[in-house]
Amino acid sequence: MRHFNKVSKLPNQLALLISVLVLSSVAVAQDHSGHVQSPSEDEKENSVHAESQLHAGHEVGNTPVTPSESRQMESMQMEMTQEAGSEGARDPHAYSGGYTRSAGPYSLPEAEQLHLADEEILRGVWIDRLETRQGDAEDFQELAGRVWLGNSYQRVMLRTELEWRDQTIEESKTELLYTRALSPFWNLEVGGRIDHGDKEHREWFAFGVAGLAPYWFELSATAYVSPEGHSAATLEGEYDLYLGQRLILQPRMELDFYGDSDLEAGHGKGLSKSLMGFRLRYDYDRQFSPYVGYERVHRHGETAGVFEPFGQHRENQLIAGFRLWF
Amino acid sequence: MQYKDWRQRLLNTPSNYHVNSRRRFVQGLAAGGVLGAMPLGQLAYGQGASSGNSDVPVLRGTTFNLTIDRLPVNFTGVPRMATAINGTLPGPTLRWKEGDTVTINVTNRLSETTSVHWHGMILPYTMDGVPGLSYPGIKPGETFQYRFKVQQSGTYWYHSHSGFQEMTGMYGAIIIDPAEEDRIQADRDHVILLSEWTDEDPHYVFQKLKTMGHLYNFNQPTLPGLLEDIARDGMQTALSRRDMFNAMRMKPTDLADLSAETLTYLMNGVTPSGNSTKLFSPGERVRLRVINGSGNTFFDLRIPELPMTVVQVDGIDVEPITVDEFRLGPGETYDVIVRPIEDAYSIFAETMERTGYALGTLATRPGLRAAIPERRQAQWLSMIDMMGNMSGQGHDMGNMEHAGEHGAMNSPAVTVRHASSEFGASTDMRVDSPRTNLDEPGVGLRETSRRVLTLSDLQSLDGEVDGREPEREIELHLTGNMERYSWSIDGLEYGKSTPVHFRHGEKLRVHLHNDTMMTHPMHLHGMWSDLEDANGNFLTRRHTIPVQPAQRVSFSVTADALGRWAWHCHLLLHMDAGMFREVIVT
Repeated sequence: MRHFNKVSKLPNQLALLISVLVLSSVAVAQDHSGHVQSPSEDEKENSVHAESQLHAGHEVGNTPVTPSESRQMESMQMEMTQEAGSEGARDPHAYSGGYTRSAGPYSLPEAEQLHLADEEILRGVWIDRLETRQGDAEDFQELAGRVWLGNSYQRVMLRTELEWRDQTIEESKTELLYTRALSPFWNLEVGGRIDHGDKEHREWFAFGVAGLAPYWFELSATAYVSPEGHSAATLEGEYDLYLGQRLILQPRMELDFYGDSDLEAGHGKGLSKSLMGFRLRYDYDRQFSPYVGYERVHRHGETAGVFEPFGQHRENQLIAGFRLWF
Repeated sequence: MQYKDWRQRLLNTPSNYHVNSRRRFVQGLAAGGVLGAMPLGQLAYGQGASSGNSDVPVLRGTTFNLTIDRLPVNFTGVPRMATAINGTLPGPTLRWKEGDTVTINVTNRLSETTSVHWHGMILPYTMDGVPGLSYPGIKPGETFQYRFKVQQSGTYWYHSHSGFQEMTGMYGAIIIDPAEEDRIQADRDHVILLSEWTDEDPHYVFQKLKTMGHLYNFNQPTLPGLLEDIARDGMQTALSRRDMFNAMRMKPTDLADLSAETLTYLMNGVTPSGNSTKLFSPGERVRLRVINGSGNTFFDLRIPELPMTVVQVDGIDVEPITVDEFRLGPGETYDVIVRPIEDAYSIFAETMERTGYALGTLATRPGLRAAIPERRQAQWLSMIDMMGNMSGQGHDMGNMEHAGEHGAMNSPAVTVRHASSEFGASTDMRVDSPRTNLDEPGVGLRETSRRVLTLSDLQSLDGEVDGREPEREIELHLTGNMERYSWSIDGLEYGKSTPVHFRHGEKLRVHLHNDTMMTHPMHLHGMWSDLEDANGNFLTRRHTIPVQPAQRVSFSVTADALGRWAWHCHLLLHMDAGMFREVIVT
């Protein structure tokens, strides 16, 4: 059975991986937009190329950028890039005269030398969501959290999502990831994920990109491949809409895809679940934020068939919980 | 009424939860400061807060003994431990004489290494007090003897250069009397030392900022704000005002990393309600030696109804210039002469991001108060803080904060060379056409009828000391990434950097080019930074030069001091994050 599947699901897997890769490269490209943009990009892209506009030293002013203007800007920016881009950039060590911080005249013994926080390992503990959800059919609780260790550009992260009902964990996803900065606003994430369901247990390799898109959209796209050849992908996006200084409306979206059908683990092939909703949170300070919210959960395709008998293929869920980090 | 109240609380007013404790943060405790259990003699300054006496001890002579120890304090209603010099906060004012050789014995009673750096002092590098560069620091239980000849005069200050000890109270004023008669004559002489206090552990504050750079910013652009703008200015204007910022993932209100959300601002170690009071008799010439000894705060200082004549900056006498307000960043000092005639005046030092203020009173007798000015609304950063020089762009500036009025007109175009290391994750913005004009007071001070001091107003009385032409030029870019809360120079944090080499005896020109949207007070140790205008004309000597967003400031250095020196942003959080270079002079 598995063997058959393997042959047929390869294209799906590839498609998934490719789509995640494309998504991530688009995201990352936006960060490097200042320097390698072709003038034929469409207008929508142009609107996010603020960095390139900055580089062109070009004033956008009060009027929205028209297509022709933005093309002009693109070409201006192309010119500027030749002069001021990374091509002709300075060597940041050119002023050292060959000296180093660790040795040479007037230097202190190694153990006494100055080190600042950029060389320290920092940590963070986040409970992104600890919440109770009241579905159409039943209630359950969920925890999404992470612990990280590292610096500005490289971190090790343990991330988990737990779902439980009546004090019994029904489903969990736990990821151990190494994250590394790709660009100012984007990180690469690689590692592994372990899923525990009520019956099933799955292991995956994880590969993804997460970061902040222009206009403040928090996005992440992760592809998963299991040693047995299964594949999956998750896309997530959220946005903080400041209604006030502490009252924040956070729309959130999540899409889960699978490369093949695994009904024991509760999903079919393709888009299996989509989740759309919002949380209205109150930042007591920025570290503790209680919230209420609503999410609409859709199961799609074959997955819907699994959940339909329980009336859970389309579900409205009311949410109450809090975010806490330290 | 009640609905309105809730709406206000939820939607509009920044920093408005638990109003009482907010007020306590902004105002501080009236009798706040150093807690009991200190010998009476050492309580001289803080306890008198409510009666208006806020004088720290003044030590004179050529030999000084300073002891660093923990000190219980309470500024906000929460007892905390400070790091104090000789049991006071600020530490004692040291009064030296130009030409004297001073000996200072510093004893460390802490459980961690400490250090004392003499800010702006010209001295041998081994006496400069930067642990890891000048010396290994002062270990617990040890006494280190500093000894150097005082070669300058004016107002300076000293502080710890170890971690965040300065933020926990380790700072004090230095007054150096000139060898000859002082050019600046005054009937009274008062130190106004501005600083800040947080009840949090500064290391934890730093770690939290690494996770969330806007943690303490409760002045975010909001949806109701957008709707108001649309109603007032129309959709297009309102949206375009935000578009660049949002597209670049920058906040127009990112004016400071910390705010009154965690800080209480102090004047001479006293909270605003404690009311640090300095006395005068009507008609006297009063010299105020204003020092910004805070870790992370820019202050805009004014004394309503009382013009101030700036006579000295960073210890250097300047052509007197009368202003109503001036901005000073961490590390900078400004001496002003005032001639008060009324009974009481408020010395009002509002923070740049407008969440709080340090406050004291200039009065004819203790216990008086003058009207306290209203806090102003924080202004948004403008296009010139992002784009730099926008002259010659031919666009209508419209209501872009009227930036162009002060803006970068008539500045010569400069050739910008970014470092290759600026094209990575450490740098979220690069400016290709910086503004080079120095007549710009900075965000928040642009639209005012007050006379506000700018760098271009400064002209040293003694003129240029080293008249040679600079032999070479170097360009360093101030860089950062607010989302990652990383701060660097040329995109490289200290740990990844190599030293900047000055050849002993050479004169060179430095261009500091700010590729961020924050102002960085850049402090070069051991040698003067001779500030120049965009055409290379000498203005004055500085030890700390504030570089505004998208601005490029140039200065010359005479590399006459052998050794290894520190060069860094004096916002302590930026410094510790890596906006720091070692300078080696050989």
